Amino acid sequence: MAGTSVGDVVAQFRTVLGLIDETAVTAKRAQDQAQEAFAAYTEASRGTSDRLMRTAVVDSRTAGEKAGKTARLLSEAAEHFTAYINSIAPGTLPPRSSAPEADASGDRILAATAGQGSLSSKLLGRTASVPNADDGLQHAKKIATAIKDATGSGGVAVPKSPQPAITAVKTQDASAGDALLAAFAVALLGIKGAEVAARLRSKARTKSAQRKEQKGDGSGRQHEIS
Amino acid sequence: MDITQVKATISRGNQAAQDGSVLVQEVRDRTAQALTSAAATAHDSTHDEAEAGLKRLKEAIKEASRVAELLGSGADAATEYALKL
Repeated sequence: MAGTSVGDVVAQFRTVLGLIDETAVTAKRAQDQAQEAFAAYTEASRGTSDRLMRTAVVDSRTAGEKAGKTARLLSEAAEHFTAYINSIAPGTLPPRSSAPEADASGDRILAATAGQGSLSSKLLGRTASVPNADDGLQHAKKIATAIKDATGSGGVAVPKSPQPAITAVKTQDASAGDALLAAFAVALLGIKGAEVAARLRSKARTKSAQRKEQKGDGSGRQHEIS
Repeated sequence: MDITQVKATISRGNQAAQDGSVLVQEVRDRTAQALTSAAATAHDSTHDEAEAGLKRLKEAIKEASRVAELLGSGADAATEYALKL
């Protein structure tokens, strides 16, 4: 790729790694579904040696194994690309440990992507575009102002002390007040962030369901049992 | 387990197989997207790690396609069996 800098290559591979990580998680979910199908077919085939049910059991079991292998291959691809990036730009990415089995659990993916910020930066990017995020900040600001007013010097019963004592007490009160405000604001933002994340997840689920519906229509296979 | 229960269990299995099939098709498409992007970025590289990564992605696409086929054939067989009952 003539004219492409190392920085460009690294940036593009970061995007690829984010995509691979997300896809590995989806592959694990596909594996779970295949295993669920296998369990159901195994249960339904008890007491019969019918060839059709044997096929259903064997195929679903193999599908589960291969879905796990798919997740492992994706994980290995990410390891190789990480090593490649670190060879052309040393120390750019944290090295990934080799996965002995298909282990693309959510925790591992989150740990792996934390350094790159791929998932988190996407979430932040999306959060920034959500109009209600501003409402949350405004809300937090209003409450913070209210607390400030309540704890401020405008109260009627604040006793006056000698000058040196006042200075010391004021500093302490201010720190405590600031700490309280900061904790409160963080809690509010956390709640708002959780709401926004939940809304994003809900949207993603709806989108996924729609896609599923479309693909389901296009698959051409009918498995309705009367 | 009576016939109604067997059919219900097979339906449950078919639903899981269908869900898994949709997911794995998504895996295949996204992996193909990652492969295209990675290959374009490292197309003039003969680095072992880059080549090994691209190879894994190609294998992953093949495996994902096979998973979709197996889930389909398994569900077809189970459905045929249930319809005979």
